[in-house]
Amino acid sequence: MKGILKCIGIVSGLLFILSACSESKWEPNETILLGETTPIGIATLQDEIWLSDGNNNRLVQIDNSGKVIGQPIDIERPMHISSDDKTLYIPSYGMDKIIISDGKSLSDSLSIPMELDAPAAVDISGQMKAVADFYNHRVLFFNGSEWIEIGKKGKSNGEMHYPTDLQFFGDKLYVADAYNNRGQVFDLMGNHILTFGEDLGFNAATGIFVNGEHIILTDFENDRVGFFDHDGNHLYWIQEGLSNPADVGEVNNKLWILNFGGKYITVLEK
Amino acid sequence: MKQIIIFIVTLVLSLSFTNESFAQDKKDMDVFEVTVAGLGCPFCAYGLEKKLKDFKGLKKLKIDMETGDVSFHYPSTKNLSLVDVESKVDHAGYTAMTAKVTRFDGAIEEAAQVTISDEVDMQNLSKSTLYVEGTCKMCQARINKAVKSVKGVADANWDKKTKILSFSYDSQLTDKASIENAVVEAGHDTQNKSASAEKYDNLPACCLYDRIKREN
Repeated sequence: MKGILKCIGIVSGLLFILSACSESKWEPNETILLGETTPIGIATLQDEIWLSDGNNNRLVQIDNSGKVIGQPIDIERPMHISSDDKTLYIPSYGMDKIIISDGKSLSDSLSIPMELDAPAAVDISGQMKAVADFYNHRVLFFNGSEWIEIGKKGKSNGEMHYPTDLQFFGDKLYVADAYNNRGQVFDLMGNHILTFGEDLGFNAATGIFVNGEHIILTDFENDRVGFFDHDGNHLYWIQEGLSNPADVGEVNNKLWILNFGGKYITVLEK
Repeated sequence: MKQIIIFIVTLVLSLSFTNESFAQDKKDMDVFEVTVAGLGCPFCAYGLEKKLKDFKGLKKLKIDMETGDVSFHYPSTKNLSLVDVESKVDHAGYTAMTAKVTRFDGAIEEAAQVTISDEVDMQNLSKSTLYVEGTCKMCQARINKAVKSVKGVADANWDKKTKILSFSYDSQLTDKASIENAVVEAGHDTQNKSASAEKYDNLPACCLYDRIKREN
């Protein structure tokens, strides 16, 4: 009798773990078609959803159905954008600048004491700013008082090969080290903490998104997105129906995967 | 009186400047059209745009990422040749499939396209395969073009997923070793040979495959 109870206990425990695991997995649930828009980056400005449309040299605001709202903002090769309460920050790959906008027009550019060569991403968190400087194989980071340089060309930990995206989360900076085919994590002093995804066959890790639950890295050429825990352990892939995923964003508690090649968004829900 | 003279001089100068600009826009500009293969990755494709801007004086640059069509206007006085443009594209690691320039006076020049040699005798056709390292559509375009440029090659196709190059050739005109050399010269490691570091480093970011490690 004792043995049977023990067995039931173990089975129940396993079932509980299995159900917990399946509950935490994101699944594709909806596709939002974007017409001519080729999405590379996403940011929300209060309730507004903004996409950078790289091929068409513009920034567009869309609604939840993917329809463009208002007039697009013309800008040369906008890449992975970011926002704070009132402002959009747009890396212009062609102009080598980070352009500032209120969502209506372009105003100024971010003052950075180093020369950029094809900025591919920007992120802002309070006083902190970071820029992925693609052709210089580095990240430029403003820690609130000064700009510092993180990384140089190479494959070792802390080095980079064409970084294309980045994001602050908590007291860390997460970087998509695109053509080293991996992600890297740094502290706010610029020290390397973690490298992940290195042995998973990424072919251009172009976009990164971090929330309290996961680190998510897009695998552009392999048409898939990798989910990791915060220790860099790989959990699972989303690959159904993806086409050159360039970035991931969070809108209304759902995850939006931007399919650059397919010109649509794959919405993930739990 | 002095003001009237200043006004007239300014007017004449600005008119002559406007006329000059107009003339340059309409009359003295050559129009270049190039088709570049495999512009799939935006980071590399937009990089090509940056490289072309090295041609100082370039205007009206347009790149269609989906078709690979690139066009721009360039002052005819600078005598930019199709070879210069193709060379710029190739040195940047991209693959120009066609190139054409319409000179300001209407004359048209076209670059020779890579076509199968008329001398290929189908009776002598041999088929073969070769493992070639690469990553993307741009690699595919470069590898295929390099192989098809070898005299005697009838067909070539590199598969991105399997990394196998399938090709056929006239065995009286060329051989497998020459074809393999052409691939290596284009910057791609094969099952037997490695590309030079210089050729490899010149590939665009998305084409930088993991190099094949060999025992000496």
